[in-house]
Amino acid sequence: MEVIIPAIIQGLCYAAMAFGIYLTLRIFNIPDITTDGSYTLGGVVAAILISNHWHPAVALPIVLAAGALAGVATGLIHTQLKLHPLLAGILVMTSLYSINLFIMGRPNIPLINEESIFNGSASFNMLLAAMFSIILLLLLFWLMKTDFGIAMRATGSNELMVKAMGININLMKIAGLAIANALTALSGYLMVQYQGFADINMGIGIVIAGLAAVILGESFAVFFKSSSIFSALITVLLGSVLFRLLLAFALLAGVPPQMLKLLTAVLVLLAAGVFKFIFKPAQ
Amino acid sequence: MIEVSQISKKFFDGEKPVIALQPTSLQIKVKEFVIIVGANGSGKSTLLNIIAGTILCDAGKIAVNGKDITALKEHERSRFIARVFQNPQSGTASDLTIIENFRLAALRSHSKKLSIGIDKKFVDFIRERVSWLGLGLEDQLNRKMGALSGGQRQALTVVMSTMDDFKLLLMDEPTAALDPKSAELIMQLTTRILSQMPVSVLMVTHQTKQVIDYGNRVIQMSSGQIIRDLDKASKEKLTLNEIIHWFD
Repeated sequence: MEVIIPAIIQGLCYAAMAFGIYLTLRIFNIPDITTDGSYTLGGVVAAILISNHWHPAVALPIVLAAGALAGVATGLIHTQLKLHPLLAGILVMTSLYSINLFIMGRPNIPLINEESIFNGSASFNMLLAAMFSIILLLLLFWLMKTDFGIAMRATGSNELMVKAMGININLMKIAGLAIANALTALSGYLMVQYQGFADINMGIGIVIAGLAAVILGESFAVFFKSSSIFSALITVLLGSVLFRLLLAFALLAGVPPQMLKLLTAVLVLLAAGVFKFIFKPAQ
Repeated sequence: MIEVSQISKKFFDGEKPVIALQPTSLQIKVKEFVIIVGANGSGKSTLLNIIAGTILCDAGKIAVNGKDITALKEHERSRFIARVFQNPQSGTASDLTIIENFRLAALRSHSKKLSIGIDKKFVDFIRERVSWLGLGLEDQLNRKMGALSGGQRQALTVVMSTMDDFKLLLMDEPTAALDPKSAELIMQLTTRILSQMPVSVLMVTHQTKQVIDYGNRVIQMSSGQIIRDLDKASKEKLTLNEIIHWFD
């Protein structure tokens, strides 16, 4: 249990980021890897504010705004300078490494004796993280159903039609990237409080965890008959938790920690590539 | 009233300029159903795309009811212009449901707000509109657009254009990819819209029979300019044979 519950809590903390990846990758069809930078940015901003005795609740909107700003930067580079979104994301992610270090002033901020939203027993913390991710899921579901959300989803589906419907595609993409990276920053905010420190390297390669959640989620989405937005969001949430559990079991089974990234890649490969042939989902 | 004055367009094939549209003027009155014919490369699509704002003209002016829209972007012109594309997949979003597609169409000239717009009243309204088609789709409003046939999607696209104010409906070979029955439905629907709304239609087609059966004005284009422009009276005297000889 001392392995399983922390893994579940981590999975729930990463769910926000996984929702963000789902939004860019699946709703907008944009591969965005600003993630590594905006995740750390969220953690760093949270850590700086909390270590200066700001209440975590007050820090939250600032963290979200910081993440959104990173998304806007990627969105502007992609839509205004017409750079490929991958390149735009790499540029912002790389810049954020320096910016994060500048904000921190040092490579590591401990939060041992500071205020944290995770200040109860393990099961309390798990409940709190679950509540956070479920509220987020409902909010996102609501967003997708609003007129604005429908316009966002249409943007990823058919740009030609969207323009004819009076929708500014660039604005939609920038808004989508802003929301996705605000969500990613939220994961950073949750994780630094849960693990009790922020580190400049905490975001390196984190994008794969979000991708794994989305793709693992989809690989068992074939068991759900529905292809609605709601079930998609649930599978992303479950995928995020499942991914952490798989990693925890791998460690328990004696896989050396340095092999975890390789294992992650193999897991994503299995989920994305091999399951496709076994289950042959519709489409 | 749509006024196109002296618009022209050159494309560049490497260093060599290719004239896609000679300086062209065209006035379309309310309730006019203008059919454009012409061989491939005659400039029909260029004209349509310039009016829609997909491509910008090198010179000239486009006005809708006296308002100059030449400088407006494609998505800004959607306040005046509704479109039906040649590819039935183009006019609708596959990943969205029928009702969600209609919601966007209803907001073509409005902002898309952060509030849920699909309520019972809206659904009832759409159900009535979709029943125009007689395809039974009014009972499947929550189906994904991608699950429908090309004919069904194109018919829905035409109905969607009526969801919000517009002055001009641009149709670029809307029946080219459809079976004869679906094509007939699209043409009748367009005629019905024109009889019920104070709008104009500009349609490009390669099907000469449609020129005889539909519309109240026909234009022929060749080498980037308008070479024939027949009003309702002269159009009614046309025979299929005559039109075919236009292309000799």
